Amino acid sequence: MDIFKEQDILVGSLNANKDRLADDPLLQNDDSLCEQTIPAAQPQPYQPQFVPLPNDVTPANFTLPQTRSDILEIQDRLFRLSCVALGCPPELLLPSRGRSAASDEQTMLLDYTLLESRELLERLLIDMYSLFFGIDDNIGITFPALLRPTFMAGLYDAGMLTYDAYKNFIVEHSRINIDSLETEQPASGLDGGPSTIHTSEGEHAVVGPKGNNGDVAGTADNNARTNVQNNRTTTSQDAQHAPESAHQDSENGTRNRKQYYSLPAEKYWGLKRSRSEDRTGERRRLLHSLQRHT
Amino acid sequence: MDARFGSNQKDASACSISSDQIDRLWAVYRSSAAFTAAQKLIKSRLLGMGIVYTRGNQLVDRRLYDHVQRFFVPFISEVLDSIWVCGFAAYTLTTDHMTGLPMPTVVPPGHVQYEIYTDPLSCRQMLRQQVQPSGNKEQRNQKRSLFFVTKTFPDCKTGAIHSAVRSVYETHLFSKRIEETVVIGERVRCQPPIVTTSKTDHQFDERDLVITRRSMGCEHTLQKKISKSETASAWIFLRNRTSSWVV
Repeated sequence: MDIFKEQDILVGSLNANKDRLADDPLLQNDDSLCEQTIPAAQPQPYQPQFVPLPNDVTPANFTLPQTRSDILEIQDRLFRLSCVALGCPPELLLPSRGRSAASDEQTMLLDYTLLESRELLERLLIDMYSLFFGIDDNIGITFPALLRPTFMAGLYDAGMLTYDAYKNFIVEHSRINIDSLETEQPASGLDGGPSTIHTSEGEHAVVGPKGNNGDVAGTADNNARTNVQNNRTTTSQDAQHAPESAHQDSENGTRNRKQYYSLPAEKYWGLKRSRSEDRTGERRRLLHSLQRHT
Repeated sequence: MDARFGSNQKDASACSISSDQIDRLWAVYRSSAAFTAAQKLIKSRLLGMGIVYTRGNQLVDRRLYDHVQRFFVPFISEVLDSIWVCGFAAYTLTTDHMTGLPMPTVVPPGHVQYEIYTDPLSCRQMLRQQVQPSGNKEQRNQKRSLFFVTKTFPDCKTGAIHSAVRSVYETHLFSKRIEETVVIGERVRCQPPIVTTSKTDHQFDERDLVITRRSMGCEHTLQKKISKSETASAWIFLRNRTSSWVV
């Protein structure tokens, strides 16, 4: 008994600062480790502590657990899997070192997710409207957020949208004070370059949905371009109906142009198009529509 | 989308959907940073500027437009959440007493017990609220007029949910267990115990197993070896030494 009592006194004197360990949240034996993530601000200087062993025991071999070096990789893979499960490219949310930015395929994944969700929600909203107000076949749903600013800029530079409609769209989309925007349309394009028109059609890839690559469809015939004054008329239109306003504007004959504006910069039109694609489909329809309205 | 009123018809083809698994999926969805970031991005792209009802490229009504932006957009956001988690969303449709316009509300998770059944005539799978036929009057009155918007139906035999969150649920559990193991291992590394063995008594005794760690449902034991003739003070001494001291 005396031996153990002396050992108690010895241990108590050698480990007098034991209480400081109890205050450290990282050294407490409870389940609140995750909640207490703030370590001690200033670590105490190291003080060796001595533990006498009883006479009948000896230290045993003990292997400390190894540090897992793959935990960050597992977490990163889980993050990517979760994003893909929801239909969102993980590169858009957490671009990491060594990986390229969101590619075309990844952007297409997000576009498909938006398209799928939009169709589902359209059916839901139309059904709700029909349940409450009665059947109406002409009811449609519009998601204005799907109209991106770059897309509207492309419409404006293609001559299909008035400057006021584009400005109102930007105000609605970015919550910019309308007084801070220029009241007059810029003589040059939105990118600061000269506004040009094409005098020969068929050589330029012009109108169409934009992508994200930054490449302009087709080849531009620089010799055929001529600088002209951008004399678009400005009418106040609701930003929610910017394309419709451009259409009405054209129908009213306020736009007095017989030619269409070329693309001001590659950044507004990113979709890769080949020459064969340029000669078909949407481009021809839009060209025809523009010529008919002007 | 199926819009069906809840029914209390009980047939053999109906299968109850466990609310426990719905709660677990919601817990994973709400605690995951990846899900939060992804759903924020999709919702901002889709609902960032609201929703507009149009009739012939014209606004239906300015009053309805304001009502939609105020009530329908949050409703649609909750519908998307429920579809991602459960594969379907149940909602009610009431009338706003102030404006007289429809007021949709998504049924909160855990509020209603669902079941999936197969129509014997059309062989279509449908969802409905599960109501116990043997319940009392108060329980039967809890039946509501529910509408369902469904993207993926649960399994008609087991009631297992098929959804986006469900597809990565096991991966989340695996990662969580790995993280718990890493945390426990780091705690042991930060505070390495002194493990001793007796020179004289090598007989195993369960009473020598002292629980020294209890964290996140896991118990970690260290074995102390003392002779049976030792006193209580020696036992406490050994217990403190093996569980608390840092050398």
